[in-house]
Amino acid sequence: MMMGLGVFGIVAAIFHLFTHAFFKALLFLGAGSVNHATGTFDMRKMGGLAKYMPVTFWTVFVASMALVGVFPLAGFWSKDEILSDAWDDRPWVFVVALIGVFLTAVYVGRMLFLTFGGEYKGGEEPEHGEAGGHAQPHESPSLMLVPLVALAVMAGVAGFVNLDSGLETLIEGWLPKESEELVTHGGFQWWIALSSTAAGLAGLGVAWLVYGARAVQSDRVRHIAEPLPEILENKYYLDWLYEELFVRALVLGGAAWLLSLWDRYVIDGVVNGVGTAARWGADQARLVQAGQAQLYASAMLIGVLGAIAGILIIDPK
Amino acid sequence: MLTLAIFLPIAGALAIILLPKEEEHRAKVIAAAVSAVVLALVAFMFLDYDRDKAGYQFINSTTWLDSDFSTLRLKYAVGLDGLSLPLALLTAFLGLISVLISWRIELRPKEYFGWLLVLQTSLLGVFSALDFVLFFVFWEIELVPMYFLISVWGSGNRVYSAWKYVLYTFFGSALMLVGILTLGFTADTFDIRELARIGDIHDAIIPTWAIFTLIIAAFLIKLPIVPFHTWLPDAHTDAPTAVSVILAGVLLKMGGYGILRMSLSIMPDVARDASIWLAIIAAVSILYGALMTLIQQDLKRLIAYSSVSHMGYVLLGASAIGTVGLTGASMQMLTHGLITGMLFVLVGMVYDRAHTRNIADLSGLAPRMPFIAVMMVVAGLASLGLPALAGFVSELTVFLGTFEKHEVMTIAGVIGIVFAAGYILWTIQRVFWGAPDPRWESLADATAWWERGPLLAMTAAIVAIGVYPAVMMDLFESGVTPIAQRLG
Amino acid sequence: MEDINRFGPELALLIAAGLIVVGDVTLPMRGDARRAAPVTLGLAGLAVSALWSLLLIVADERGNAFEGLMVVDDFSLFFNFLFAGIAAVIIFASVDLLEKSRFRAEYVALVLTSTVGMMLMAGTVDLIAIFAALELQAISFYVLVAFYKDGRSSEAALKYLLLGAVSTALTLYGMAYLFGLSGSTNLNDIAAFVAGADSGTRPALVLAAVFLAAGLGFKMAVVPFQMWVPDVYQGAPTPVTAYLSVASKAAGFAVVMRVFVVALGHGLISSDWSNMFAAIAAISMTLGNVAALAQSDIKRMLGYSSIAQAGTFLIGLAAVAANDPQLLLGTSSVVFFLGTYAFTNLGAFIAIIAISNKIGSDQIADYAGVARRSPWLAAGLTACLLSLTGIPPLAGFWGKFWVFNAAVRADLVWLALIGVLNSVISAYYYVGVVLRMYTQEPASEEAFQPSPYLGLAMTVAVVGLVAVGLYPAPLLDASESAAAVLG
Repeated sequence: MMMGLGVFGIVAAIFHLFTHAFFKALLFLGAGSVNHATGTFDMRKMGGLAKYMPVTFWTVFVASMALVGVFPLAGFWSKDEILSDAWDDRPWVFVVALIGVFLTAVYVGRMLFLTFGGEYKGGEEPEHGEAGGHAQPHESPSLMLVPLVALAVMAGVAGFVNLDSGLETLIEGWLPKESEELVTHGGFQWWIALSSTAAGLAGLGVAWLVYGARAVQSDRVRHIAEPLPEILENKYYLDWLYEELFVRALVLGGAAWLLSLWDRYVIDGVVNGVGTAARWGADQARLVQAGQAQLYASAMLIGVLGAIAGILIIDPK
Repeated sequence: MLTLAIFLPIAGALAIILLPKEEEHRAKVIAAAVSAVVLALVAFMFLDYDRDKAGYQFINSTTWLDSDFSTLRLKYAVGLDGLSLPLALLTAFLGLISVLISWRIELRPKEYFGWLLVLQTSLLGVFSALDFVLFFVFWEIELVPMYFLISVWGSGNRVYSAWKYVLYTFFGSALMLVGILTLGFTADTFDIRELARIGDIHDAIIPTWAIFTLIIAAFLIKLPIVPFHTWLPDAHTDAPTAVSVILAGVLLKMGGYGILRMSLSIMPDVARDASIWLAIIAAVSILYGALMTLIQQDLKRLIAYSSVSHMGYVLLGASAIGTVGLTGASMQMLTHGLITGMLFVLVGMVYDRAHTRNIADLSGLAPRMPFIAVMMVVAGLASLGLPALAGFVSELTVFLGTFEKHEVMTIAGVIGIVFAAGYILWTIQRVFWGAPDPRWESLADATAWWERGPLLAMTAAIVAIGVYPAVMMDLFESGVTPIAQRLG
Repeated sequence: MEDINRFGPELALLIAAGLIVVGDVTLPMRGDARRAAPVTLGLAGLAVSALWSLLLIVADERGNAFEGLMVVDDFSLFFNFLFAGIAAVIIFASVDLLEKSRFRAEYVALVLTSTVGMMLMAGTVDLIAIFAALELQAISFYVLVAFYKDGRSSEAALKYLLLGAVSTALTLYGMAYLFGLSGSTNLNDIAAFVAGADSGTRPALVLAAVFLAAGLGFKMAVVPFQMWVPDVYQGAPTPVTAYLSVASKAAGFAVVMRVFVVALGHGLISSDWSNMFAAIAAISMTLGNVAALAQSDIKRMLGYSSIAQAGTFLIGLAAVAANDPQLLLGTSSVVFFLGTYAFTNLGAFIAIIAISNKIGSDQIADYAGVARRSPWLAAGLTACLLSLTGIPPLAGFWGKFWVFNAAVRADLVWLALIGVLNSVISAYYYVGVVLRMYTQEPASEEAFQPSPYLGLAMTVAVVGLVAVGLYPAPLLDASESAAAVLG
């Protein structure tokens, strides 16, 4: 999604960013819902959840399709605008983007099939002492479902409003009048839309082959793609979202950790240091004030001499 | 009427202070009543504001001080225009909410609610002052209640935090005072309308950029921007909930408002030259704040750092020095006030119940407190800029306005949005979802009217602005258009 | 007769002082009557004095007296009211102290004579008369400082006397120079001489100005002539400390304004002394504030703070001559600031007297939790300390505002900047006291009230500083017309 900014209209990019928020939030909440039911984030311990938690399944499904960019969900339109702009500008970016769409589809598909397809694999082993179990997963309480459904509806609607540039019209209504000229109206090119949809479907298909139908042994795929899946699956045991976030948190967390040191020791160090220095000065001043009248009188005389010298030296005229 | 709205809270505070000790439980009732009346007054002005005429309305003006020896005239002049009116409304709204969510304050309630009301007066005064010295007076008054509220009713390292807050702010306003005096001397007036009409001053005794720097320093510290932000996490974290709400919701906006109202419109030439620097500072603040947010372990600290990041958008919008960017900046002030205010209310409720704000300790709270969880999701989604909620429109407008002017900085700002999605969702995930922890089995949901009412009201406002932003956007646009014209 | 009329405000005080002392010895009074008489009589004298000043205004009796030694003008009238008011508050504040003393009559009489001295300091325009007024004021104060007669108080008085003698010598030296150069002791004659002097006389005039500034700097308590302040403030009875910090300082400034603005303001060395005062102001503010940070005794802390405040007043004086057209702006800002400072510092000291009486300590650490034991006193002290910091809408803010305004208009932005940054430093120790009172646990929960006299004096001071803070116009008008006569 980030590469978008380099090549095309700001509106398309930003809109993609924000619609992205829809699916991402949706997937997040869906993951929470699934976790609530199974007590784990490890997808290999899930499976078959579509049966037990239909609402969660369908909403996550909508989010996934939107993320892949399937017509006519929100993700399709914004991605489409990005791709058309990329094609006009730098075709190789377009190719890279298509590959990105394909890969996204693969991992989204994997998530869907592992989690919701097949048979339930038991969830987290009940810990001793805890009343147990997730033997029979169940749909989350309506409290958790309401946001899911709301977001899913919006992810869908956000896509439909894009038909006939309805999106731009909507956005214009939201924005200051002054900004209308900034909102560009992108052209719609069928072949681009088709190729991106095709790439997405192809990715989903691959995922289905490997994880859904088991037509291809995932071990063999793994063997070919060594060592990437190894790291992703063994090291973190988390669904794709968590992988992404944890990588982000680790990489950026390092930077952020450095920044926090900077905050605490450098910036606050300066702030507190000023205070310390002032107090040090105060102690020095107190030492001078030893209570001796001779000293005080001397200070007055020195002051007189200093003032005279100061005036006459600085400005002898 | 405006004057009444400004000073009514002080009158309420006096009434509260004079309550006999046995009656001190009535303090909150008086405070709520006064705040409600103030909100009603400001809301009435909001509806009554003539949007076709624009400009300052509800003006009360009288001479305050006249000097024989200098041409200095100080006025008591207040009025509201499209820029200040929504912010005044926000102040009154959050003012009432801050009183309501303090319903259970038992420690020295007379003083507590008294100070809350004094705070309201100073904030309303800041947004409606039409004389730079009057503005400064209100700006300074705010320090006193804040100091007491944090240092007496706060938690954790509250005394240190209160100090840090006061000294940082006082440092900034000290510089601003010199800037105001120099400006007033050169321009021969302190009237903000006059100053804006005069536009750039010449032949000042010190270079105009120096005056600009002196004045904007106070606003940048208040906003705050990196590296003058370290007061904020401390103050937010250690302040009582209601004060965190006001602090994040309104006080930070004083900085943004000052930049738009004073720095940009009074000294447009300098502002134009400085705009790239402002954009750079803004981008640094956005990214720095976002990165810091990612690694926070304390819920309040986390939201505090996210404020640093989000207020960076205000400065980014301001640096665009065009109508769209300025509208975005002012919208961002309003929406951030609502959203972050709501987040602080929620975190306060969690803290009241669990007595910890440590994210690592909290887990699986949603089944225990479903209402709070739903509200948290709403506020969180609004904060990360979900379309159809308030945050989206303002951030989008900021980007639209800034992109042409400062392309790279805007992109940096957009990256901040990505982080926002990360830290918000991740936090909600960790705190509300996840395995239920037996320690939190017995926690109760928010059920009292004074808990649910404010949250629902804030949700309504966030959704309303998200769905129909024009209600605020048009006003803001009418308010910033004159400023943008001066800059353009 | 006209001379006597114009000397009336001072005369009333002198008569009252005489009556108090003589009456105490001769009249056969006992018990309560005897205890109350000096205070009553002293306050009556002050009331008559103020009334007389008022009549002088109403009858427009402004003009010279005693062949030009003395003058009644808006400047001297402003200070007549100021000093009478301060003295009245001080007498109120001393009632508790006097309960325990045998020397009530002497104490009150000394307060009155020192007031006369200070009124004359503001109201005389002749070097000889100024010197006499200075000595009258100084000697009264030497005795007042020693009033406790314990080790601390005596040591403080001795130091004050010794260093006061040095300052007197310096002042005399400066006066002698001026007289030698101009051949006159009258300020207006000197002004005429200075206006026409050629540049050859500059070094001698500079010497005269520096000596005068040094001698009077002792009264104003500015660096480096301030070193007596902490010891004397700590050792003297607290009401006397309050009196010193407000009245004596104001009188010092009154003389400096008279002498420097009238006599040396136009011509050769005006920019020299302006620069000197600017430097002294910067140093005084910074040293005073920084040193105050480390104080654990509240009287010592206020001593250092008063040094810093004096530095801030001096900004206004530096602005007087830096730029001639702004002459009056600087002077009026100092006069105004002195007025606001009187309310503020008196209020602070009265609160301290009231609190220290009860908790038996001047240590800041012992102020912990005072807010819970005596909420009104704590609130009053807080208002005074915030006013000293310069937080609006209290009187102290406007004092600083006008002084900085004068500085900016006199092209002294750098000095204004040092001034505002010093306000930030000062916030640390002023608000530090507030912090202790409000956020810390008291040693005992026992509630206390100030005595009625202190309570009244405190109320007057706090109402005054809030009123001036909200509507400074009347005080500003008064100080502007006071300053106008110096032009």
